[in-house]
Amino acid sequence: MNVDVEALGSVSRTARKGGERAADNLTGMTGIDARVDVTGVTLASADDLAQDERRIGVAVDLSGGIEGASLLTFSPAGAETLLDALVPGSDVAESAIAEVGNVVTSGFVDGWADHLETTVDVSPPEYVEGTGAGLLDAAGLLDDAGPLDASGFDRDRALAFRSEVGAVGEALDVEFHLFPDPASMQQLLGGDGVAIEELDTLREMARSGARTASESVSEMTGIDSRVDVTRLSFVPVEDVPAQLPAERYVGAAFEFEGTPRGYVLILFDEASAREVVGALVPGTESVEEFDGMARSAMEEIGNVMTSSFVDGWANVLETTIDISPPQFVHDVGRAVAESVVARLGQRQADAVLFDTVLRADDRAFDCEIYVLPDEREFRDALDDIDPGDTAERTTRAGPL
Amino acid sequence: MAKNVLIVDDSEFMRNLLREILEEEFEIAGEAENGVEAIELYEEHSPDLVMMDIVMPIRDGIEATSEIKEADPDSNVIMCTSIGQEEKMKAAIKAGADGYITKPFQKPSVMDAIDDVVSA
Repeated sequence: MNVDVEALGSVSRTARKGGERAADNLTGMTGIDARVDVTGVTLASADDLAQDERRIGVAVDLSGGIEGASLLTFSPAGAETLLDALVPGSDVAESAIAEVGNVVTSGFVDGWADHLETTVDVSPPEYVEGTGAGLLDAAGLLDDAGPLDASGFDRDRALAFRSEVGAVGEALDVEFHLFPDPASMQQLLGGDGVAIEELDTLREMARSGARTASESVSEMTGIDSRVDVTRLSFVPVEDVPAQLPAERYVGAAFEFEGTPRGYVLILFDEASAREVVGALVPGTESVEEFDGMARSAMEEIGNVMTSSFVDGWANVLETTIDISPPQFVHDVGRAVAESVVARLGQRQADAVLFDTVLRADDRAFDCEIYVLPDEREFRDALDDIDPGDTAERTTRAGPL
Repeated sequence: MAKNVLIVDDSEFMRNLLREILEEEFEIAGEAENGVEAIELYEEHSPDLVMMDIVMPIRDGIEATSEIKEADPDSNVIMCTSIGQEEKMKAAIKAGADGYITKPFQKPSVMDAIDDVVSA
């Protein structure tokens, strides 16, 4: 299938219409002031699409103007908030969640249908709960006879529309995935664009770069980490900050120049940052302010990780990418992203976002890598991509 | 008599790391945070070896290496680079750099690079 990358931005805005309708429905049912946080198109494996945390929600099959399936989920805390608002103290939780899920899903789907001037029929909602890709399995979406599997859904390379709706001052988060079948997706995004395999080459490139970055972390700190999630998303530039969690991070921001130019954010949650500086600078395990040597260590590990990550891109794209000195950051993830978006938004309306998560098995370690290349230069670079190219690490030391 | 070495890096952490790696076998002539300080300290101490970061504010490692080599063609300069800076390495070669190490590094790779340069 080919994808018109330019169309991804406009379709993301169509998804926002659906998100706004869904938020209105949610507010109407619960009285909670809901708003759209994120809309966009994401390319990821089924495993990487779904969140690691347990989610509760509904799966719905779609037919008519859009053929495919959808999955709408809440976090357990969000589900509690809903139940408190709708049926406090009641034991009809499953039924209530299914009904709210149905109404909110209808909002998303109606928004799409109106914008596309078509009609979309929805099946009765099926209550689901689970973790990660298991949620898709629980919903039966990936069974042999499920709507996605029957439509040739590619579990390793899934393209989905993703929206998130949140609420001000309430623990309520709604995540909606729309999985059009290949024919519908082609209708929505098709054209003389790039093959989805080329886009996936870039996602794989990011994963490979993240592996190299992970090796660098291990080499410097002794903390063995692995690449847990790699996603490639196309989102309106103003939605980028909402893609980052609303928790505090420590790390470094970098600007890179070349073809393409762009930004890299290396962000550790505070507990992980303490693990890292404790490993790099003994005696700093319980720092609060990350100043002096602790701050310098965070900048340097960010520098090494960014170089490791971007190196693979430069090799595959056969270009040179220079990286700026690190800019230390210690703030809420969304605030960190806003500073980048302010600069990026001056020259583009839509953003290409790679997000990767590194985790360790034996300890609490969570590092998020966000890469935001210039959207137009990224599209130009796609022309030179050969599916199958991989990011290779360069030599380490030697005489000249 | 131990050889003396000048460490140049804008990162306090990296200067500290290099100092810990080198101070057992070398005398630390000084530490600089940028290319301007590096040139000043080189003129003051004439160290046997310079460990030079590339990307630094005020004046980068390539410019500083070029100036040091121009003033003292026999100087030994090892560049400390991050992965993926091939173009900058080419510029460093042109500026006269004698060797390089890639971050992240461990003591053996640093010592090997120094041996290669000093024994050449």
